[in-house]
Amino acid sequence: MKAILKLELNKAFKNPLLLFSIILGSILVLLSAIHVINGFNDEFSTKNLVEEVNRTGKLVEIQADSYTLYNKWIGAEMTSQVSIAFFYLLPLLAMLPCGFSLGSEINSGYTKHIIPRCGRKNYIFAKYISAFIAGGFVTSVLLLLSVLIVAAFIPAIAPKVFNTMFYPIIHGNVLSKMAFQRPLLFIFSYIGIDFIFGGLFACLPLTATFIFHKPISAVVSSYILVLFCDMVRSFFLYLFFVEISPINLMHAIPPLNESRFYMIALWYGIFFVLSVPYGICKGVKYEII
Amino acid sequence: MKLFKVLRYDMQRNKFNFIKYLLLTCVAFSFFYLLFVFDSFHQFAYFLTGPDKIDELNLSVGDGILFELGGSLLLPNNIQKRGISFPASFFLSNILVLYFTLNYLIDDLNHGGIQIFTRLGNMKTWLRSKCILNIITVISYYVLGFIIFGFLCFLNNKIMSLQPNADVFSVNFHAIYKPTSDWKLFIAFFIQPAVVMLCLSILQMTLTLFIKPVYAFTAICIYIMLGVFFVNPAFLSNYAMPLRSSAIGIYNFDFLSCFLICLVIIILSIVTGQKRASCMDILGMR
Repeated sequence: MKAILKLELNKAFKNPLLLFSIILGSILVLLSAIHVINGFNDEFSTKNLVEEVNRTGKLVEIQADSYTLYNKWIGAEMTSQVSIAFFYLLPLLAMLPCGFSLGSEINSGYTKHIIPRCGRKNYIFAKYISAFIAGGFVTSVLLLLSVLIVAAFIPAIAPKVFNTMFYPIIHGNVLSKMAFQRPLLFIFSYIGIDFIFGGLFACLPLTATFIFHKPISAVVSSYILVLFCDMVRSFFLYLFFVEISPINLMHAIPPLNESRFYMIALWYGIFFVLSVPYGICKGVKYEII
Repeated sequence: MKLFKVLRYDMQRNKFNFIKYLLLTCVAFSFFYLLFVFDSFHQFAYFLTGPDKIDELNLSVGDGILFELGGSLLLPNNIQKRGISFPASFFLSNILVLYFTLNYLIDDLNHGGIQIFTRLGNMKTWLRSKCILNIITVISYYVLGFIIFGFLCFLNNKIMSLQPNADVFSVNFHAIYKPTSDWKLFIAFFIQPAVVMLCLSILQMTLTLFIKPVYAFTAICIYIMLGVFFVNPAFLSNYAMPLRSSAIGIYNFDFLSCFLICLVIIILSIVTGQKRASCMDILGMR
């Protein structure tokens, strides 16, 4: 098991599609960062502050926490078009590194050589574990990159509880206490939550491979499934004041409704049930001849 | 004659896929209709005494199309308190078309395609047949989709008109709708999206001759997504959004310029694809 897992991880992390996902995601992260850094420079430029002093005769207290790392990294920033596009593309980016591997290995006949050597169960388990780690890795690396870029230009001023206009996390939100007391830890915790989402998204195409047989169909149909899950929120909007969309739940500050732990756990459960048990059952029974 | 024979072969080869796509189209448009019912109820929940009173709004087929497949208006009032809403159903309806037309060329190349164009003597006819297959798929997707949508509206006592309700429009989109002729709405709702997606699917097919299908698919997805956020004719998805069409009169993306731009892109794609296909090394093909 150890050897096959090492081999699969090696394949996943030396995959050009992983590089493609990271480059594409990094472009979006960079564009979002440019948007918020420009906004910060416009708002707090020396020229603006001098104009303020000339107009009012004094330097009034500025709302410094309106532009802070904690509400301007890509997971919390929702005013730029790029950040919305980023979260809608993130499931696809997470699926790309390992989504094709099982299908292409079955089609090329690679499985006929590897399965007799390591066993079907080990092979399938290694595939799922490597896909989970690679998907989570892509997601978390991109979010971490955003934190690092934004932190280099925008100060990390601690958010205030009463300033919900700029930092709309209210009581009961996921990790709401930590969001104000340990905001940096909150960011890293949320990256952890997104890591699991990314990992589960990456496992979906492996299962879809057993249904569609074509690698490209497996990836695209899994992405379409995630979009369907996102739109399910329409059925409960304004009736159920909790964020339902898994894509919106990946935001540290959900764009529409409040986030709850049980909803995140529910989506984890749904994506796990949709991908892992069926895929493993099919994989373990898979005949190579 | 050769083209006809190749097309017949392609259609026979893809008939099961085609039936699968048509079924998926039915499911997708039924889902969009269901979203429309729920969205319209949620939007006006405060004005209605119950879900059964939704008929009081006098919603039409046009309202449904604008609501779910119309895209979005990037007006300041539409930008929500905490961010920009993303028209997910519009995006999904478009990427479904891209998904349906993604496999034709590469699937054929990986299977019997090489034998076909070896017998044909050139790859141009083979590629033209794939383009026609794309056209048939896109047209049947939109025709069937809108028939399903219209039929469900009819079953649910919606007004069978493309004219949206002006009051509902102003509440939903924070803009004023000036009534226009039905044929202009017909072009904006049905023809423009179909022409744009036809163009993008042929562009995607040409891209698959240069890069892996997944890269081509991702590139076109990003292109469509950028069109949602940037109101600019350089992004063709602006033309595919009925809400931004000249018939609605807010952004004025008109049919004539849409048709001309798409025609130029389709011709360029086909010519580039033919050139690429002609110099492809079939022995080194994987």
